[in-house]
Amino acid sequence: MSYNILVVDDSRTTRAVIAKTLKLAEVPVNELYQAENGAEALEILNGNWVDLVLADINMPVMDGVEMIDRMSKDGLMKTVPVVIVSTEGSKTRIEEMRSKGVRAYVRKPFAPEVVKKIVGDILGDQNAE
Amino acid sequence: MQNEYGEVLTEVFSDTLLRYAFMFGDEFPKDEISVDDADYLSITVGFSGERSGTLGISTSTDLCAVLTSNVLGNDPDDYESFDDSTSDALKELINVVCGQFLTAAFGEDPVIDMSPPAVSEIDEAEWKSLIDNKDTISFMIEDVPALVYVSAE
Repeated sequence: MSYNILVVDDSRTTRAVIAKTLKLAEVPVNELYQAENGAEALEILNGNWVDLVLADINMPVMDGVEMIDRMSKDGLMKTVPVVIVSTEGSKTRIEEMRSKGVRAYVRKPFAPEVVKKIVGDILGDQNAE
Repeated sequence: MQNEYGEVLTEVFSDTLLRYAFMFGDEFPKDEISVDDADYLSITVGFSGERSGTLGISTSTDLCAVLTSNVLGNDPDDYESFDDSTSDALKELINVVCGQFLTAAFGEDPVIDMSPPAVSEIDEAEWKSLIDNKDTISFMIEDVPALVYVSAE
């Protein structure tokens, strides 16, 4: 089984690093979607099946917090697991994200192994469901 | 004499550079930094909320290609020229440095919003002024000088 994964980050370098990490981790990716901000991500989610979202918080146009709020109001989108990949370190902000249903939080700069484990755990869980 | 955040910023910048780009940044005497006709740029990230201020880096555009190739694990020759794609890695570096600095300096409790990094070109006079600014910290990264600074209240 392979997965459709959406990477949301305004840094193209970070999107490329995450793409490389997923490849090196041998995560079976069917389609790797990329978005520069929350608004672009919602458009992709509207028109495509996505198994996992990896998203930054601080982005122009629409940040990750608003994107997650909007996803939570959509019957289908709210079932898509979201992992935050951000430089934010505020405990309050991280708790806020978790209370909105975010499955995991990865702080930048990240080690590829961390992303590999979290993605593996979440997609593994999905297979078990 | 640097401001009260100089020591924390030095530590955070060196550590982040190593973990993000696998590069070493050594502190370097300011009086040994040259002012030549290189192309310089500044990248700043503003923050606001329970604390507010600006964190930035100024350097030669020569650093952009080296940094990008290191982060992505590609050949440096793939990035010969400076453009939007090569400045992106430096923008992300300073974004990550800012996030790490905020928790190192102020702890994990405050909620502080960060703005997206802003890039601007600077001329030799501005570069010289930054060298002379007592609050800037100078590094040498792969033979390219970089000036890092923060102001916070």
